[in-house]
Amino acid sequence: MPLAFRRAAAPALLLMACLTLAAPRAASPHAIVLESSPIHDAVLPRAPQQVTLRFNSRIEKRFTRVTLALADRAPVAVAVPAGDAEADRLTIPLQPLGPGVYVLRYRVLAVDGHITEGALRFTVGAAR
Amino acid sequence: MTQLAGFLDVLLRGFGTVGLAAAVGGLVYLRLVLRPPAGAGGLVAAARGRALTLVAAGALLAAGAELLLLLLVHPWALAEDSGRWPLREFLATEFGLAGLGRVALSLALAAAARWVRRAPDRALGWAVALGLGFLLMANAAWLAHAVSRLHDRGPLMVGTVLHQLGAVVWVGGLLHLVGFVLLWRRAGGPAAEPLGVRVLARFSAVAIAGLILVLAPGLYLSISYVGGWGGLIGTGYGVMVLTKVALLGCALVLGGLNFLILRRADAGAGAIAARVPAFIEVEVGLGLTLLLAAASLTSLPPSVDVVADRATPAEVAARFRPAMPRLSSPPVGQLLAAAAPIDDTLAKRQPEEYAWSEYNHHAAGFFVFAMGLLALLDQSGRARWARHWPLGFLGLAAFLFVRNDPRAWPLGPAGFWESMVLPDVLQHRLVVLLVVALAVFEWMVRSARLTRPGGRLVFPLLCASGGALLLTHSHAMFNLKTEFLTEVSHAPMGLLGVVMAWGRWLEVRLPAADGRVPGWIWAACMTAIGLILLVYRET
Repeated sequence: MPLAFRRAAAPALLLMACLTLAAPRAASPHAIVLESSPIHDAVLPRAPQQVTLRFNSRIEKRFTRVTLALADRAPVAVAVPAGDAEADRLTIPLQPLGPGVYVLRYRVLAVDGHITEGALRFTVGAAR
Repeated sequence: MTQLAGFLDVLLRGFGTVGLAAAVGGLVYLRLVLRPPAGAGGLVAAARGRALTLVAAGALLAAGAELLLLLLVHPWALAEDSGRWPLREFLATEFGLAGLGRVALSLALAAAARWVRRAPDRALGWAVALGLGFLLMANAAWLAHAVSRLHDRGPLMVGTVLHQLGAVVWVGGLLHLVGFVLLWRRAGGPAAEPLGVRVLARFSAVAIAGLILVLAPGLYLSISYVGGWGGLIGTGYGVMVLTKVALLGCALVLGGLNFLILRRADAGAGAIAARVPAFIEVEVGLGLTLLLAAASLTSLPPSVDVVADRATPAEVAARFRPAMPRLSSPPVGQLLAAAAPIDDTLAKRQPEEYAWSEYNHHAAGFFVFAMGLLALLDQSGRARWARHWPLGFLGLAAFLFVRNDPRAWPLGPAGFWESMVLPDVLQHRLVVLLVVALAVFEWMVRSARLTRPGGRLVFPLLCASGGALLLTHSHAMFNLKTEFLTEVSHAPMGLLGVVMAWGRWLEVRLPAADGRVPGWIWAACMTAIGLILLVYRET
């Protein structure tokens, strides 16, 4: 390797490493929700018994994590059964819900190894 | 955590592909370009030894990147509420098993390359290495996005592998060619060792075949994943495909120039020695950027799936329509009162936040545009004082330091050290440090305070990595369309940053007379980046 390269390499590589550290927010939703029930920002007269999400990718269901939060209260973990036959669908059963604004947050692993987070908000009862 | 893991995933997948290029591309280079005969000595034997070392290093890089993904990044990102990492379960998934396959094959290839280096005339060693290379490429099908598709999974997996094979042959061959050219120059260059010209000519033929392999399956994949013109222009995936095409176009221009230099009857040894190595270095840079951009592409949802969140051509065009830059910003108190908490991912951004961000971009654009104009003036040789243009980066750094984080010192309530624990603030301050470094290095070069040849390469290397990061950087997580429209100008700026970097590289590495045109090109690119920032808008 010529001297010019070697002399440039040390500071440049150091700074490139810093740049790499400086941009850790790069992440995009690889597996996106194509369809959901209820839809995002839905206002429902009655509480749904379950939430269904259909993704654009096959999902490794056993790694799915779901939480549900009412308004600004602490989120509660929701169990997701792995038995759904369709590889691109998640059916999330819900406990009986009272009126209020709910945010369901999910984290899924696609079969190609990409991890995605997302959120779905819905209102039970009158819109606020 | 998921976002940081996603970024590391893109980087490690990119590094893995670079490793694959050095390893598998190196095998193709050895068999079809260098073609060392049995019992070869001299330059050929030295080049063969160097190439086999690079093949082993590439295989180890591919294995290391995959191991980090499998054992660290993904299990960490998938940690359970109890904090337990589900390592064993993750390794049992389709992706985990394919990843372990890549690790095993890569390590075996590294060992095989070492074996071939020790006994280069044994056909069995070459057969084993080539077989492992073939299996590594086939294994890549189970690590690609195609494996998770619901329809046309098989054809898409085959198309992806062929597309990757073309890229690996082309970029890997270029990497090896840089190593060869360094040895060739040491051996006396084209005047003393005509073999080098034959090697370069053979590589042109292999590179053309590699590019055909990139383009034909690439077209099929683009049609399948992008779907149409609307998806090409109105989604992050489509814009990234366009960026890859533009980068490939730049690399093809340089490859074409090399092709012409080597085939022109009047091209003497001097012309080849002076120009071809610099062009190859830049082709390598563009090729590596392409591999990183490809890794970033795999993290984006394909355009065909983005229907409701797709932007229209009119909405995209509106983001580039020239308008007067903002000359004032909302007061920081008003901004802080209106803005939603940072962690509220579903909150709608308020007008004050847009205004604050647009003003920041416009002011930064003013600095970059002014530096671009001064760099152009400096290129003209009519104003010697204009060579101090890098000092503009210091003004930019000071502005960014004050304005980047309105919640932190000196504008916001959080103190300097207190705010350092916030990831965003820490990142922004690191960027400020880098901008200062750019100013110092390039100003010292321009004012003859830094005369080492390597010092002149710091600026292009930093610009190249900055441009590549801009291309691989996306904030979109929850609001696809809004974030896409906010960041749609990042792709042209990243592309211009890459062209600027390698233009400056050529200016430094080519003979002074040949370096003038690239010199004008990079200064024009910097001016254009400033202009894009000046018309940047988020609403």
